[in-house]
Amino acid sequence: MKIKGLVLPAAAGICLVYAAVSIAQSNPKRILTDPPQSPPRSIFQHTIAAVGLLEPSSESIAIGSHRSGVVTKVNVIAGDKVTKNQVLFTLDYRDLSAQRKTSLARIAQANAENRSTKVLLDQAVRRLKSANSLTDQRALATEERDDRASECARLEAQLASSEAAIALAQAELETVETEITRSNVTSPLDGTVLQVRVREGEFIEGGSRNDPRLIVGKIDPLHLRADIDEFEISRLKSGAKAIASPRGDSERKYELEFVRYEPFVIPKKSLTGDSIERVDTRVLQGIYRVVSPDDRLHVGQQMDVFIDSNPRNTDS
Amino acid sequence: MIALAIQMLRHDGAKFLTMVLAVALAAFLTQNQASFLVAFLSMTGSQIRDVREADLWVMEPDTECFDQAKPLKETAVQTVRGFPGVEWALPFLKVDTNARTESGKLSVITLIGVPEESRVGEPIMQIGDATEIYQRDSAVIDPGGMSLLYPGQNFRPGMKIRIHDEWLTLRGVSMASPPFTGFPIVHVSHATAMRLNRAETRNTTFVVARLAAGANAAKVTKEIAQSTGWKALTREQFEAASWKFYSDQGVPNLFYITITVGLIVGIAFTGQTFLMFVKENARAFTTLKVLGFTHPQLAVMMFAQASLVVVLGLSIGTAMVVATTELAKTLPFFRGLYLPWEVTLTCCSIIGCVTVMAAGMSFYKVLKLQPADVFRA
Amino acid sequence: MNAVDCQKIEKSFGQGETQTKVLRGIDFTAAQGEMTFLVGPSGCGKTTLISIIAGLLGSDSGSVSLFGESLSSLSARDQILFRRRHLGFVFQQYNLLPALTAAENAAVPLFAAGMNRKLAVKKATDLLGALGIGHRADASPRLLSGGQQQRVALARALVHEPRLIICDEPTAALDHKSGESVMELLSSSAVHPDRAVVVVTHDNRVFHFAHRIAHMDDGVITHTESPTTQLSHH
Repeated sequence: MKIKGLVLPAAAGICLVYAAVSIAQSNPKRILTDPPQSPPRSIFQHTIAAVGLLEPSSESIAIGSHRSGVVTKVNVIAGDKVTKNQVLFTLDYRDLSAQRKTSLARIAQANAENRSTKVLLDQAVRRLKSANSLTDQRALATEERDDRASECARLEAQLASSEAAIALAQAELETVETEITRSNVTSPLDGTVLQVRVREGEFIEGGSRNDPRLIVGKIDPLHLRADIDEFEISRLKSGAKAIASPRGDSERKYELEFVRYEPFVIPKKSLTGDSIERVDTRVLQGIYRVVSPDDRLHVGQQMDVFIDSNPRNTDS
Repeated sequence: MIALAIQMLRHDGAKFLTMVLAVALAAFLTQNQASFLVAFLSMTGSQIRDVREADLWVMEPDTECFDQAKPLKETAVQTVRGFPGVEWALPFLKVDTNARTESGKLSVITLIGVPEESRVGEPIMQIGDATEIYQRDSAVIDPGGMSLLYPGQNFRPGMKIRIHDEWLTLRGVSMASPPFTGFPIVHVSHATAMRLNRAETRNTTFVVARLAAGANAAKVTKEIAQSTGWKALTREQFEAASWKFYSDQGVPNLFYITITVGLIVGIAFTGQTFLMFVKENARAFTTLKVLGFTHPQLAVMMFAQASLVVVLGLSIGTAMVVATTELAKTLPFFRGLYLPWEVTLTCCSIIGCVTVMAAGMSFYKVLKLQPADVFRA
Repeated sequence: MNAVDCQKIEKSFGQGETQTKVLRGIDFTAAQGEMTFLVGPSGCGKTTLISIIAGLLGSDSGSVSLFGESLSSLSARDQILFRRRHLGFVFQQYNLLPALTAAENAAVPLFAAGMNRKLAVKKATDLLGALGIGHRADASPRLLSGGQQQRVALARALVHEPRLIICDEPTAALDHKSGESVMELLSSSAVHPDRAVVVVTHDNRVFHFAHRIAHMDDGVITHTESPTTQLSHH
């Protein structure tokens, strides 16, 4: 048998090409590409990285109510700037208004009584005086004179009593008016309304802590609360430069200025997602001021924080 | 001279074909088995390779491979970000859990959370758009998962899988590299993965990072390992570690036997046939010696003959391997199969060398031919 | 100067009791321009002698010189190169390579010398034409008749223009007519003033081609004759 012509080499050549192409295509490739969106990066050579939340410099103040009651009027919407003592919302106080009227009537009644007692007292004093002024003591029975004195004393006591009644009624009025004032919930500081979860007509439970209906805070300056792993504390220098980028927009970088540390190292709260909290890390919280915030930063926003930890830079 | 040698070989077509096919058989058996072995073991690095953006992996020191990972604490990603030479670092969340389809089919799956803000590790898609996983309760599944959970069905938008009492809508089919475990690979957003992982405390299976341009990988990994006590590996090192973990379990031993058998069978066949070829052509070789061919010239001729046999045989054998591999790949279980070029190179080199050595032994016969025998009738 | 000059060649095969002395002091010469026949019964040592002359076999004692060059003074490699350049062979069984065409077979000595393949085949084909089988140049040897094959072999022996041609029973496998025509070709194309031709044969039908005939028996040259008939040929 003789292998004719180029059958075998040609077959082998085709095999070779087929094998080479298939191998080249099917072998897994180890390629390194850039992320579709840029992840947060530090600008410092030596860095301590952390995550933080934006918060008002006053921290968030949850506004509650002393009284329970139905809300009759809400004066602000979220984002409003408010001044100290500005009324934020009002509870229904018609019952108090009624009580106030009663108190006023009581005051009027007590005043009237007081005035009539005064008239009677004047009369009694006059009659006692005239009795005492008689030179002849026999002109009037001793008994009669004593009666007149007693009458005076009784009316004086009655006068004192009516004055007390006036004071009482006024105190009552004041109480009611205080309650009326408390029906107007006011801002404790100059700041911004961050959240409004109260609407006219809703009933509010007084004294409840768990259910803040309205949050105000001072957002100028804006603060950032960074969670720093306890293992990094030794590398941390107060006054170090820091920057922060919002989650999902690492190209925007905001300069931070150190304010203070919370002196108490706390268990880390998971900032992302809603997994049940079972902590195995403790963190130091550092408070930083956002040097030049813009309107794209919002309270509660999560930030990636990079703190300069170069030992040479931090001393300056 | 070489043409003369090739002409002699081609003239004895039966032996030529036998030798070529023997070499092809050896090439087929060895490469087939070796590629199975290598392809399976390299699947242990599939999910590592699939994170195309990261070249540095940080993990707990107990973690030996991708599949059996102990998660890191939540602040680990910040810690890694703090190292010089690390360009960026992100959490990588992998959850092993059960998934059930609407028809009730159940499978263990590997759930991977892709961070929304950077989209690092986002799969390349076969059907659909990967960014749909960032929608609420959305997921994409790999082809292997499709065939496991929906055997015989094509992907339809709106297919659902149930994980931990939550229905996830499948938005597409990814081209995730096939995993060693064979479990379906399901990509979801990081937030979704965290929600489905709420039974666990820790949500950072690995920290994946990118080395800064010009950073010394060895120095950075060493620094991270020393100051944190974690394991920091380059992508290649982690792949190698996963590979080693599985190959230490004794997976390869079976393959070694077949590879050796294939090698021996092929070479024995080739060597024996070559010897017969020389014996039958003894008269011709003797004549050539008498007519003035020197031993080096005869050696070149036989080397050319052996080389031709080897080249043809290896080409055909390799093509056979490629063809069977491509055929096998259509089965879900073998979807990760491929013929690594290293296997081809190694097997072909060994077979080539040994065949040429066998030809050398035949050349000894030629050396011993007595030129005076040319006058014997 | 003789082309071939053998002095006191002795050669034995085997060891001890089985040792047989094949050549017992041979003196043999062959001259250029002549065709020298070496004849004798089979087993008399003709083949051994030409093997020693061709340098394919060593002798136990005695000396061989070809064109004044002593073979024993050459290295093994130089012996091969000498053979390649100066010797041509014609065998009883033709010894053509079945894988090659007639022309390629005839060109083998040129291949050995490293000549360009195309050129070598061309030269061989021309020679085949001169020997009258140019039309079969591309045929495979097994498709040729015995006479044709021996002519190809003759071409192979001539193609590199050697100075000594050794023919071992060139007509033994051929019928009388083919043998006669091969011998005619041999005497017409091979005999040349610069060339010696040594023919080993026991075919007395072709003795008339010889210039000289050396008779050999049992390891010795018994006598040498110069047939007068040969002279008349010239």
